[in-house]
Amino acid sequence: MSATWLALLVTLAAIPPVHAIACVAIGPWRHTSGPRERAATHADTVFLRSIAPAALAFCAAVFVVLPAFVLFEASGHAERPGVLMALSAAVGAAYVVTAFVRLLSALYLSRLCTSAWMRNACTLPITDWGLPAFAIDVNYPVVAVAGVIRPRLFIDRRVLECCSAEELQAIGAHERAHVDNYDNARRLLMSACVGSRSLSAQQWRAAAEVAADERAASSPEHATVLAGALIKIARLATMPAPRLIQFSTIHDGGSLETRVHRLLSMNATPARNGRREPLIAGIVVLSITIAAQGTPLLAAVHSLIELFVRAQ
Amino acid sequence: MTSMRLGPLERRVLEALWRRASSARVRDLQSSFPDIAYTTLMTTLDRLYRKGVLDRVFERRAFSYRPCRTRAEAALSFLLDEVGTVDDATLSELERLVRERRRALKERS
Repeated sequence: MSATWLALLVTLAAIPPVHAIACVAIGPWRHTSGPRERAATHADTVFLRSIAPAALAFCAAVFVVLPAFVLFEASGHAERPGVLMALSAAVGAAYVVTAFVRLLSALYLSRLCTSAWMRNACTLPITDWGLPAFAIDVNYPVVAVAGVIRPRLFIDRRVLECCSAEELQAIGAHERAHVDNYDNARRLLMSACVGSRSLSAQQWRAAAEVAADERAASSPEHATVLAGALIKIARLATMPAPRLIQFSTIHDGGSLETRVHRLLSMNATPARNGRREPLIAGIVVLSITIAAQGTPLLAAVHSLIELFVRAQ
Repeated sequence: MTSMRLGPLERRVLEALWRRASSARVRDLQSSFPDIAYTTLMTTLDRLYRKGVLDRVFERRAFSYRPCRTRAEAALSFLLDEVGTVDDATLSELERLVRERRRALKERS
């Protein structure tokens, strides 16, 4: 077998064991949000916990296993992989293909939908929201931000007609919070890693909505206006998205009640967005440590690969 | 507002209508549901219409049904910030809470 194919097999074969180890390590960690925890922190935690196994598996395979193989594998030394490695590589390939299919289908569907909406959309002359906004006519009170690189806000005409200027401002702030937090990109990543219908994805979507409410509500007055707008939109919703294809249940009754109660219980101006610096600093320190230990670490990984390749 | 959850048969009927490019009468759909009685299918379509999932027009002495939303629009619901259906009583109660909160905030300021 050529070295290139073997490198590909080894990389793919590394994914399932790392994923399994990460799942076992992270699985017991059941994060529950305390009453004083910020919604954004809770949403971030749910997001990281959900994507961590897949992200770790991918990073370990591409940034550790592959370099270890390339650096330490003797050139011209042809090896035949054992059954265990072949099986693991097949499972790893299935993981990768599944993730790509999920990602592409999410992108395709979003493109399809935004194209359909754009055909009859009217540009709204509102500059306060910081993103292009369009009025659309659909059979549902849509308030949605579509797009990752060039986000656009779509609002159903009935929502525009029934909400006051103040409420529309609150809705715009809520959607802006989604954009600022890159929620559409996170949604795509979530779809690729765990699937959009998974329980983790649903939990994250619910948490992300509450977090966007919290960010949008800069004062108790604004929070009350947003709560009123949510109820008005709920009154317009005469039909749900059909359950068989419904990805999210975040705005089903219980969730709306929770959101409204949470908004109404805001007493002080909430703190601005959570501090992510410690997390980013931790990742940077870990990366530098791994890079400093690079050669011995990669050598150890290569020894493991050798054992794995020969295992029958 | 009534409960809007779709039952298994309702989902199957909606799927069948999506598969057809055009609108359909009960008779047109019957071949896709050999295990379902004509009257049951008619009732299911009527229920979907009342839930706002289907549109219908009266033509040639029968109702012709078509989905209000395309499959793509519905599938894209993951992009939407949508507030699902909540019963009237709950919404009224929430509105009362909002009004009370507004009053309290006004008094405070």
